[in-house]
Amino acid sequence: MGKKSLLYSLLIIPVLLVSACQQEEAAEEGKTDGNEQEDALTLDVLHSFTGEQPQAPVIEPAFETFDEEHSDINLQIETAGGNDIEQVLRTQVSADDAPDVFTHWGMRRSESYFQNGDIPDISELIESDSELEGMFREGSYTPVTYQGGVFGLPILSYSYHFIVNTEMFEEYEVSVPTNYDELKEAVTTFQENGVIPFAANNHSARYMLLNLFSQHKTQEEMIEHATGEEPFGDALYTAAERVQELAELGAFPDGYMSMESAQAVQLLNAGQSPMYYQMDWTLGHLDENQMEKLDIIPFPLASDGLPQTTISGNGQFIYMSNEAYEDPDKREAAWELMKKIASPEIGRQIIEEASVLDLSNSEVEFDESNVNPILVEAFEDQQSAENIVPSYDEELFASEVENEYWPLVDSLLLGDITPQEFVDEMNNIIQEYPNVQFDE
Amino acid sequence: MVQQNRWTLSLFAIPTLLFYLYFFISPLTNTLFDSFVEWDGISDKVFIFLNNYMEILQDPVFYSALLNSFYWVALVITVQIPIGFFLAYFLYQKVKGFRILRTVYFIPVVTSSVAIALIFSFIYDPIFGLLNNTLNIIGLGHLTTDWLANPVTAVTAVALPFVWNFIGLMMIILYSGLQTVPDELIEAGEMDGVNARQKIVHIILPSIKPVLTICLVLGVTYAFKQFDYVLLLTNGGPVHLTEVSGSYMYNQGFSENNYGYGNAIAITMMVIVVGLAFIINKVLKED
Amino acid sequence: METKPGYEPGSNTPVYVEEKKSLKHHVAKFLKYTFIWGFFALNFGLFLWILMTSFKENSEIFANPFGLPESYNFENFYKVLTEGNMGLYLLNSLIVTMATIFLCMSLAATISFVISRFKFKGKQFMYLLFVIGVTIPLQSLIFPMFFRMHQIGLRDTLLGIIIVYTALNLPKTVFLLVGFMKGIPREMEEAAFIDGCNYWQIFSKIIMPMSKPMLATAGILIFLSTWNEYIFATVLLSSDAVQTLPLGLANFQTDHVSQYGLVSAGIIISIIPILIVYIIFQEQVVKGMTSGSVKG
Repeated sequence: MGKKSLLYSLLIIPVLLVSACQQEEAAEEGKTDGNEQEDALTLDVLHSFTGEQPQAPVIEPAFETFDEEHSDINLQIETAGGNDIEQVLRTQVSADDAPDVFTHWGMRRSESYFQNGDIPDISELIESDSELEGMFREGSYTPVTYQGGVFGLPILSYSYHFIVNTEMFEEYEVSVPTNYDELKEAVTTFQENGVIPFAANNHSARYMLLNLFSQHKTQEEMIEHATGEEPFGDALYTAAERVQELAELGAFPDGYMSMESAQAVQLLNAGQSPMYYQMDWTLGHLDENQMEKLDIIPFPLASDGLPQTTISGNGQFIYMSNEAYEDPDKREAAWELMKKIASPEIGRQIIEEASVLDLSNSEVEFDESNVNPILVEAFEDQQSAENIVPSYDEELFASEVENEYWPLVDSLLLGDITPQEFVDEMNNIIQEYPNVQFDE
Repeated sequence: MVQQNRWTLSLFAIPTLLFYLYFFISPLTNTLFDSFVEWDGISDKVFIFLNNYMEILQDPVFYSALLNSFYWVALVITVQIPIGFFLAYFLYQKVKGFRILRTVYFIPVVTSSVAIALIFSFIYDPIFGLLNNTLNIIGLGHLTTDWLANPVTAVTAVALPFVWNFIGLMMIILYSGLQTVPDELIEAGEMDGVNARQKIVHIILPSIKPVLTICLVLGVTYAFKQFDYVLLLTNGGPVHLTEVSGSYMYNQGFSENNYGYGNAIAITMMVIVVGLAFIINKVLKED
Repeated sequence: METKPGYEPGSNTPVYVEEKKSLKHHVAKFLKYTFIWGFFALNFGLFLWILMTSFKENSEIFANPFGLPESYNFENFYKVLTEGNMGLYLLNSLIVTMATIFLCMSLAATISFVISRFKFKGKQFMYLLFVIGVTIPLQSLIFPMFFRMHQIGLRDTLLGIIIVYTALNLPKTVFLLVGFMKGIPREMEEAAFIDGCNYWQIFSKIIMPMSKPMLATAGILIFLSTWNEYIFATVLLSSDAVQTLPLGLANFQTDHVSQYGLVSAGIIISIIPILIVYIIFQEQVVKGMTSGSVKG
């Protein structure tokens, strides 16, 4: 590099920086254009439904439509896909740069925001707004209820479903299991015939553990365990023993510990595995050509006489920040936006267009001819359940517990610890980090 | 030597220093300070002084992660740098087709770790995967395993994409070093009739020592800091088996929001790596 | 640096080996070419695999992960460029990477010159500051970097991320350049002094041209670490208008489902510009290397 080129490079830096600044201004302009009024109120929005997130095709445009429909409100939308939003929100909040409206999980990942006053208690807003009366199904606010306050509006639900490939059951002359013994028999038969019984990864296995356990429990009893009032006992022990047994029998594919959900579902799609237990968020990715063979049935009962149990609840919420809450104009605008995103209309679109169940609203309406048939089955499965309980993964455990709970179940599945050790260890963790959301 | 005003030299250093102090060192001191607190990023910081460090000393997962990191370092020294060196050496010799070779060797370096992890997950997959299927075809079916979960293979399996990814990098650094070896030196050696091995050991390697040091230090720091392959392939699992110090730091600090603890791990790692860099410098200088 | 040959002239080269030499020679040659082309095949295979995968859908990828695609349609590429908005991300990545390289190289080259060629008080400390920067796991700087950018109002801007990337790459670049510049013989510089050159002339006419190989290497390194950087970008860039390629790629992968075909198409789109830059750059470098060290 001679003198000339060096000078040149020294010259080019400011040029580049200037262009970068212009780019930045252009970006700012890009954010504001399309809005008629100059004095429009600006709301910063942060949400995670972008890219290939199943709900993105509905939620992303919903924000944009709101922006267009309200000439007096101007949305500056930022996104961070999936789990990334956790870090993005955390850094923004800790730098006092919180977005005005944002989506996030319930208590399990938002607890410190509630505690710290970064997310305000909006129970007054909810009570004084007649539009919200009866809008959400019962228990919807549980994950955002914290020590007497309510902090957000539910936007998305989750539910876990048990899917069987009936054709494969016929082919191997196995009866579709209704209880654990039959399930074990089915697993053994498939295994002996060289078929991988479950298209599962370690998450599926953990959900199975949870279902086997929660058949013995009502929602209230599940809460009592999470708060540490009532230690885990026999029910968890038996469930742990059984999942471990399933793992030993070879119910799960090789490598299920590190498998992505997308890889696991492929075993079902390829007709290599007859059974599947997963969250409804994956249902949109079942192979359409397989649909006719697939049936959603109640999860096998741990023992006869127990209620058919579906694990379901609300997993995603929309919040406003404390700064937005304290500014009356912003509060009003943010509230409008929150209600719009949480509305049954968006719920319907999610079911019809995104092929994911959204059961957060009390009245779930959709055009059956319009949707993926497996979703209709999942919906009926959820409706017909005798016992609907929330998931520990999604709702009731404090985040510290969740961090220990996942590897602990992995250890159990690998046979590193006994079911008794698992139960003891769970009780220890809960003692250390009890759920305190129901304290007054 | 003509004596010039030495102060003009500061014009070369000061802009960089100011920039570096403001945008790197000062954030770094925040990190250092935050390693003495308990903090989840949102709530108030609680000053706990050395407690995070005491906890690290008693944390078995940290030790196993550290051990894995040292294993990665060993792979850098025994596999990555030697392969990188030979590739660079053959390219330097202008072996036939070296232009295309050079470009293709470079592909993994420019490929994002997302892509490389993706490929390896398809190679290791116990059911669809290339590795197990190939073993079955060539009649070594008994060797098939779940590569990323089997305690014997998992750590190596996660390290391989990293090793491979950076071979090309080592190659270009060493290649640039080889350019500085004076031709006369090699010619003189050839006239004396040294064989290929002697030429490498006695002429080439001593001449490129500064670059070798760079490679070693970079390799060691990468081995300690890299975490994306672990995150993408196993997320440290099953049950922390494949965790390295970089991924453990990231998981603690950002997935589990033990921000203070994560920072303490970072500072501890920094001290270890500075120590290693010091040793590398010492060893290669005294030689 | 002194470059004394360590060999002893004439040792260990007995004459009687000559007759065996040809066989040995052939074996060595065979091994050498197996190694060179084997590694070539491995890397080329990687590239081909991504290319093939980019034509497939998820079901085909799983059914036949290492085979040729059933059909070659460019649907994934089209989708990536339009819906995925990769065109804009590509532009952003190019701006950010180029600016970072220029900024970082100029800042690093000048200070490396001072550290490597002169003795002064505090020099070791200054160097140590940069070495520490090489060793610290950069993830630990996310929070404080974010605060800094927020403070000066550059969060969520391209300029902000350029500054962050420059800061993150600076220690490594200084480390590389100082290491290299130390090895440049002093004679030429001393001669220049005697001729009455000032510091700037020595820097620009002697040290910089001599350092070309390492400058090129450092440039490539900076390119790589910025081009593929994901973590800082996630936290700092959240508006669509300023996002970069790695963020765009990540959009195709979610916790529940990943579209591997789209990811692969995105990867191909992100690799090709770098390869082009590299090929052009490398020719320059090689030219520089052969001329640089001789002419000075």
